[in-house]
Amino acid sequence: MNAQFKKGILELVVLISVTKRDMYGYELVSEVSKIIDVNEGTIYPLLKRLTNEHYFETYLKESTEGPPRKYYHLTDAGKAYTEALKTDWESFYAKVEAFIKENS
Amino acid sequence: MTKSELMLLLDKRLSILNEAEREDIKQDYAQHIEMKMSEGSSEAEAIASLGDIETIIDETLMAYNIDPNYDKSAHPDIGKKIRQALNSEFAQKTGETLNKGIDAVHKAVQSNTPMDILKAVFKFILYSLAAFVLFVLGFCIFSAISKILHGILPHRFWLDDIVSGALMLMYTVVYVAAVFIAGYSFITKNAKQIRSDSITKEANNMNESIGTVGEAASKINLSPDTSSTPSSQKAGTAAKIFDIFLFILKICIFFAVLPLFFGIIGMMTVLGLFLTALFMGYPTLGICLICLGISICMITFLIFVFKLIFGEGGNKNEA
Repeated sequence: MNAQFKKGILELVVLISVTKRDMYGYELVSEVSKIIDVNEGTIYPLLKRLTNEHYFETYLKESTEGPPRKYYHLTDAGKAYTEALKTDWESFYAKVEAFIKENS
Repeated sequence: MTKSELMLLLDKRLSILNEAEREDIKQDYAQHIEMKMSEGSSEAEAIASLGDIETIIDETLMAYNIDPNYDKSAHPDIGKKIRQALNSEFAQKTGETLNKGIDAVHKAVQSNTPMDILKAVFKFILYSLAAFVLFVLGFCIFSAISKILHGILPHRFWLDDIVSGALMLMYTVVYVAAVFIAGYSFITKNAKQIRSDSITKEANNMNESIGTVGEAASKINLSPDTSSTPSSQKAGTAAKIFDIFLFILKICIFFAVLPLFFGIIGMMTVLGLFLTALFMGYPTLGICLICLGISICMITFLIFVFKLIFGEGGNKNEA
């Protein structure tokens, strides 16, 4: 898949993954990389950016194995942003879909 | 790349961020690698799964609205200015060359420990001295040849003057060109080398300290009643103090031998003067030989000191 394309959708997939429940970094990265074939390392800067933009909140939680894990929680602003992105994507997708059908 | 090298790289390249943020980011990747390894991947595989590290660094900086190229524009792009001003192929090549040299020095200064820079300066001075000795020797040989030619050739149309003068001129030009090329390759090569040297060295140190901490931790877990843990820690601090002491001692030696450099430079100058006098017909051969001997002795001693100060680190790296 086209790299720029992937980058845009990656953000949406990350946001939607955290909507259901809070997740820690590695969990989130493995989940997302199952859906989109992407270098796992590039998801962390995205998480950082979304946190810096206050769409995510992070908190540390002890785990039974290893060091405490950093969990990501979607803020209200994040939820609104996710909805907006989702709507954007759906309308974009619908348009492209219609265009493809029209021309094939 | 190993995990500790990656951590070092992140430390260096994300140095613009505050420490808490940097630690947080490093923690993310460290945990990612650990998790991957606990799932059965090797360290190399875990790091490879992250993808291109440069991209990660760039994107991390962009997450803070920082231009990833900020440190690349920190030094003036002199080469580019020259390129633009002259805009010919030769000028472009010169500009690129100049840029590479400046870039190498800039990078080396930016990302090396004071010890490495000291080492580079020391090396540079030594090579300069060697170049000077070569110059003096070459000068002697060529002066002699041109003197002989001057005597042999007939004086018609100042043929003797022209030939001997041309010979000296040629020698000077060749020498200057050779020194320039050698100096340039020294700077670029050395800058790269000491840079990677320092990274591996730091990585080794880090590995060692991680190893001792891990060891100590496992000992605490397994047998909290044994006295081996505090003793190993004590040994660690003792070794560290000894290292610091050694470092200070080396610095002292370095500054103690610094006057020797100037001594050698003075000796060389005197040697040059007497040599000139010798070829002008004064009986200074003895003094010349004495000067040459003293200079060579001093240089040998300096090389010895150089090995003493910096040699150990090299051996440690190899081991």
